[in-house]
Amino acid sequence: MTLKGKGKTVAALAGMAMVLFSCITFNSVVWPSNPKANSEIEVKVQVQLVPETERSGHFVLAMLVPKSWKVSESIQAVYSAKNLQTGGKLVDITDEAMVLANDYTEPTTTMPYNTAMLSQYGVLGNTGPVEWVVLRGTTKVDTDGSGVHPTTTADVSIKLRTGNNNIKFFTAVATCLSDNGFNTGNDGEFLISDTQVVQVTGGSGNDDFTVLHFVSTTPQTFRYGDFVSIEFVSKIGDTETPLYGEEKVYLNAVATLDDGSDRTVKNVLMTKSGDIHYFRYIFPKQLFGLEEDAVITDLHVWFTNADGSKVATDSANPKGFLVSQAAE
Amino acid sequence: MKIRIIALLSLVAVAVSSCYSVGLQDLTSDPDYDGNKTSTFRIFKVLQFDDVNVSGIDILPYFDFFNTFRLTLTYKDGKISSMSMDNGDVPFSRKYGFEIPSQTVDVYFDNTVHPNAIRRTDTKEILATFNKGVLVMNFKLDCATVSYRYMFTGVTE
Repeated sequence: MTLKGKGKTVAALAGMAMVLFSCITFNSVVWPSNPKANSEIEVKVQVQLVPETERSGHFVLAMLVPKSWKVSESIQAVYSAKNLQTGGKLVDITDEAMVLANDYTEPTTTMPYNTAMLSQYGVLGNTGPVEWVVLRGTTKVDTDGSGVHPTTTADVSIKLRTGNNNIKFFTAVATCLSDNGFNTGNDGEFLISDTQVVQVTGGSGNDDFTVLHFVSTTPQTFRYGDFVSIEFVSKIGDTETPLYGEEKVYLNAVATLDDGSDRTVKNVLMTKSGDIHYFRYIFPKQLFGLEEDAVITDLHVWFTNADGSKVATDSANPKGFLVSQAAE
Repeated sequence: MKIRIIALLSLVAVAVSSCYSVGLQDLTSDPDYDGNKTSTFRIFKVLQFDDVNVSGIDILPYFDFFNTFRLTLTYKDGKISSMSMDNGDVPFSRKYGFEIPSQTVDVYFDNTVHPNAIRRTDTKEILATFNKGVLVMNFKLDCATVSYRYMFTGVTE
């Protein structure tokens, strides 16, 4: 039988519906209503498993969190489920510990799960360093696809420690069975939740990963001995810098060395890569004419037009925008 | 089952031999090649990898100095026998996981590892590998989560 025109469309929509409504869904993802810095918090996730197709593997759950929290050092997770199909039986599981599975291999990409999540799903719009933390249950789930078994609901409790800083970021959770990984459609099941914003207060500083920053870098995490792209946007929302609308924007930078001295470079032309976006790759030691074993301890930047009459800088810092390096 | 195993072994054999032959491609296409020759390589890509950019970003277009790096392999009796490297104007030299040899060093082609490697004869250090048929060098600079890969192509001079 062949399908033409509307028939194909209907079949495609039906296929999509199967993908969307089969097997795994999130009933809820609940973060504490007012999480505090430097404290233990609990995130509750409820997942529904409908055994209408044949699946197997360990229950995998991934969550996006700020890197600065070093969640791998503090995370503890358990899950409970009733009527879980395993080894041809229905079993109840109560508070089964989930293990950290960042380094387990995701089968479709053959990369470690946390790297695979970043590669496939990115950082969900966060403008600061975040990471996917991946957990895995120890009981292997086998659904036979007969459709005669009751729906399974799994309640997951994840306890982790927040960092010292006030922080606002986008997060989401994702789930699958380990044998299927990122496979979707009829050959597998993978689901990522809606993105939500989490704001942690009561600490120091004010990191907001949900807004664009005038200055950013690629890679986000780097050290001054690496190659790095310094990126500048001339307008965010309704806030325009003096350089908004300029065709040519120049990078200026000052490096502070470990002996306390400063080295400055000026008027390095950036590449315009959009209406408001400019970038310049640098190798800092080469940019500042330093020896290979010189040590840069701080790097500040500011931006100008060709004759220097228009300047975009950090009004709160006389040296300019701080471009921070990673701790290690 | 036997047919499957034979097919698999054939695939492995083709993969191994293709890695080797691509490395020698420039030489074997030369009608005057008699098994002894010197081949020089330049960098055609410098990939930077990090947690987010796992496929790598090519940073070579932003830095002219990468065009001055040269790697030279000498073949004797059809086998890779020695290698030399000239760091050119690249502003770092002690970050490749080994000291860049100041002179030509004896090397050998190791096809017992994957990816196939070029090792120093005296120290067994891996100086470069053949990754999917391309001569590459992997290294890190300052940050533990950021890595780099030089990818080489033959120079026609």
